[in-house]
Amino acid sequence: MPSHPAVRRVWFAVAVVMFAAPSLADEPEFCVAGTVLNAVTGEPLRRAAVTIPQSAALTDAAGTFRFCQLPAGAYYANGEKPGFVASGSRVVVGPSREDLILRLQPLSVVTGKVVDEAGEPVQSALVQLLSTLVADGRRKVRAEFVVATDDRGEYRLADVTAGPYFLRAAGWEGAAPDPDANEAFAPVYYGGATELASASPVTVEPGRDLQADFSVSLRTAYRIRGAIAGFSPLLPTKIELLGAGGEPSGAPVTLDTATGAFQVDSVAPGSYTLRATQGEGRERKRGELALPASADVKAVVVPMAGSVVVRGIVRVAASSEPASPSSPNCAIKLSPAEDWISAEDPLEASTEPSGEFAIEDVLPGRYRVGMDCANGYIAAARMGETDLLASGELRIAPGAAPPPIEAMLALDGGTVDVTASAESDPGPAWVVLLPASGNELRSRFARLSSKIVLSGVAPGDYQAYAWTGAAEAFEYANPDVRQAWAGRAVSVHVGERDRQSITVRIAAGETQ
Amino acid sequence: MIALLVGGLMAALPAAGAQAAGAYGIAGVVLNAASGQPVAGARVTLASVERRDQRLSAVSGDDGRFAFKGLPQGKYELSGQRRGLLAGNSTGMVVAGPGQNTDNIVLRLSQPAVISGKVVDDAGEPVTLALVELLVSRLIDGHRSLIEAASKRTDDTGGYRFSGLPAGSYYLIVSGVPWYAKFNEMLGDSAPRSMTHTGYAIRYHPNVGDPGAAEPLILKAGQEATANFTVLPVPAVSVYVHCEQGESLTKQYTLTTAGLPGNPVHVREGSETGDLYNLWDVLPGHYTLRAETTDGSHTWYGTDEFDVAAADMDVSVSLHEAPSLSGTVVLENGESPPAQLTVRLYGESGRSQPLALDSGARFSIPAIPPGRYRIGLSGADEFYLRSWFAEGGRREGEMLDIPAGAAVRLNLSAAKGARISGTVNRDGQPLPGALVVLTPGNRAMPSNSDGSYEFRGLAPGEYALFAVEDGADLEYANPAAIRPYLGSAKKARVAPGSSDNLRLDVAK
Repeated sequence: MPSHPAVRRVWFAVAVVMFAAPSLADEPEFCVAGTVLNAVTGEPLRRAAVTIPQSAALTDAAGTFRFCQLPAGAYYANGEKPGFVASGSRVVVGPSREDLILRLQPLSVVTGKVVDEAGEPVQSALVQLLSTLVADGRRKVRAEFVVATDDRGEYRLADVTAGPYFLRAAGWEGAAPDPDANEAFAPVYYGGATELASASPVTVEPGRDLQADFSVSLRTAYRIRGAIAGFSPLLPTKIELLGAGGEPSGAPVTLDTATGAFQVDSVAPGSYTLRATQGEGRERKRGELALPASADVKAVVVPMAGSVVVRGIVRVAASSEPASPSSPNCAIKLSPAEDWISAEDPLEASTEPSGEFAIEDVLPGRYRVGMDCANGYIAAARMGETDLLASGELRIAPGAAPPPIEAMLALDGGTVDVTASAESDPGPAWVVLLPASGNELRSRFARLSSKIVLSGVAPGDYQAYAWTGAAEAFEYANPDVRQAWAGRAVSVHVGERDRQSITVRIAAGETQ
Repeated sequence: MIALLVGGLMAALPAAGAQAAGAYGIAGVVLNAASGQPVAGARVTLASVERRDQRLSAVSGDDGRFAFKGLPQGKYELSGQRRGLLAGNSTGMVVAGPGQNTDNIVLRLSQPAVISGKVVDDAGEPVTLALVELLVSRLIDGHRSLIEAASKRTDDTGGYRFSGLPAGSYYLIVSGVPWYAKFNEMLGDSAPRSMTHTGYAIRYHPNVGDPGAAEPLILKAGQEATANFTVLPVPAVSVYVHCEQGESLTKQYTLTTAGLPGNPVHVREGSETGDLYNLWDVLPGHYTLRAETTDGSHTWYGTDEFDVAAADMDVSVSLHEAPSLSGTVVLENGESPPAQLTVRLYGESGRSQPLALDSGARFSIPAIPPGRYRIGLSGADEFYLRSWFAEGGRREGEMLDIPAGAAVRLNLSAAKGARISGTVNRDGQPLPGALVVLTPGNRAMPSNSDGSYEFRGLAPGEYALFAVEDGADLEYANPAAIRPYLGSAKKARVAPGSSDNLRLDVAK
């Protein structure tokens, strides 16, 4: 058992306290009995563990369990078994309950095979199961599971929760099976796509095995050797070789933690960004180098730069009504621009009464900017030469204090009353107003109740979309997804200080 | 077909002496060991024995052939690998130089074998996360011993798979804890003990519980063997370990049980400060508990053996201060020993403790487990241990007994040894790859591509030498195993510092 004695003693103490409570004499006692079932097949589950407070039992071959000598009261009975989602039920005894049914949702298995162009199995290839989420209308992916193929080229991922995923084969486990042979394959999504944008997701059904095979092309690989400038051996260090979308290349990296010299083996031909990060918290440093891999790279030095403070100011446009508040009230957000979720959280700041704001600890890199202001819209936003209204994206260059963000807040926007039409109670619902100009800084996203008021909307033409379910269900920044949803869009033109009303039909959320 | 030479590496291989690089070549063929068919696309690596960092690489052609050209005179090691086959080495070294025929070196690559299987419990349910340990029988210094080859945890189907295995004799050990035993963390003693205080009794191939009934799984090249196991949950108890000394110190505890011969099974490791340590959920059986602690300048060891039955029990361990050892090495000729010379203490388990020399040829170790040790030298093969003398320990023949609490002073005298070299022949032709054995001293080496062999660092005395053609499996440190060869062995009496040449004919 891996547990530490101190931990165990704590549990004993808890158990003693719990025992002290229900030991009143002469109270009537009752039983809870029932069956644990596979929620999909309905079959009874043997050797499932059922726990109620202070006791546990295993089900028999018929999936049944029984607890007795229970004082009257409410209990929570929980069933669990490897390969199933643990699930429980509240049960009140006094009288006894003999018919409790606990249904456990089976987890799923994803298996498959990776072969080369000749159909030969590829050993030690890494297969990633990627889950997606949508943040600010953009799809982001994250590796939930990573597993290596065996000598038959086969992989197996167990205990996968049902849902949509992408599958991707990329890189080698540890080092390449034969580092001197130096072969690599370009990362590939299940279905053959090489980029996330063109990849098709797979849907894992509860308790169903999914088979996903890959065919990869083994190519002569390259090796990248280099060092981190100003390396400090005592600080945590991460070196990543990333593809164009920020996706990990999977190429194995070895770092000499004494000197900062590193080596990336088995790099498939392609274009990469080599990213090094050192240190923790505010002391972090980062360096990025664009590296086309079409030959071995012998001695790159990654220049490192610390985090910077991104400062800025939001000014209220002079044309605004004198009666309106003169202090802008904005939330400013910088999110890493890559499709892949990195360890970095979005960085946020709020405006001071003066309109100034400062976002701390910004590492060099590409970010998307979000600006959300009460009662107004962003009429203009620049950072040095970059028009943030046009691109929505900024780059923090290493080594120098970035130019300030200068934004203009206009208070002459219009108001849109949004009324939801639904046949029945739709549960949580959402609405987004997307400007026809494509200016994302001017889009508006809100939780939808039967009627809401969106004020300070920039003048212009909009498409409104509404949906129920998860807020993340609509990937509205993706033009293809918008196109697919076009049938349910409601158009509205907003003028200066005017008021429009629209009625949106609530549609169930879709992931595609 | 001449294989591709890797030019960049070639440039790194300099000329030997004044001679220009380019005088000699090494060529041959890569064959599938089982079928004898040529292996195309194998990567063949040539490494200079004298200068290990210098390597050349070539890829075998469609006819399995490879060639290296423009090599300086010297000794080389040849290895080959090909996806789907096990990496292989040439037996003995390839000697390139004047008059050497190095045009037809054969490199054999074997098909990898697989052992896979499933672990289920008494109800036939798959056991996830059971630990499957794979041991392989290997010849180490001429002794057959079991060493750990790999270990795996079973997957959600109870399955495991060891791939890429060379042919050989393997043992499997399966251990684990039922998944539902985790509830003891949440429920303490309120859940049924049969559910929470339980473990799977250790199983050995072929699915037996008694290590004495364990059998090797003999694996042939390319074979896919299956070994399934049924593990049975048995009630476990707590063993309370009392150790009254060094109360403020953190003690490291190691619990082992007999297991396979020479390979005790590691049951538990842990550390605890204070005088009581709870080894919970121990299964019935016979155990050895070791304790170790240190205050930074002193180390203490303790050990206890006990049987665990069906009830919780108490055991006590008393600690003894560890002996220390220090000493010097002097050379017979008064010179200072080479820096790479290392003193080795071989424990009764066969494992050795290396002791490096400082600039004054001194060595020391502040704490060493008490016991009997054999003393040896390594690192500089032209030297042998001429004599030794110990203060503070007891000498028993060639063994040194180091008692608890002793401060042993060990004086070693080393000398440059004699040399015996020669060639192995079969039917009048030099024979590469034969095993040459020298006794006493239990030394052996494979003959090189020109049939040559060499033993250095020999103490003066009388030796017997013989050569065996297929000697890879000969347990040459076992007197019974080499007895059949001694009748036809060649005798050599070597004087201090002598150099003898001895031609051997391979034993029939």
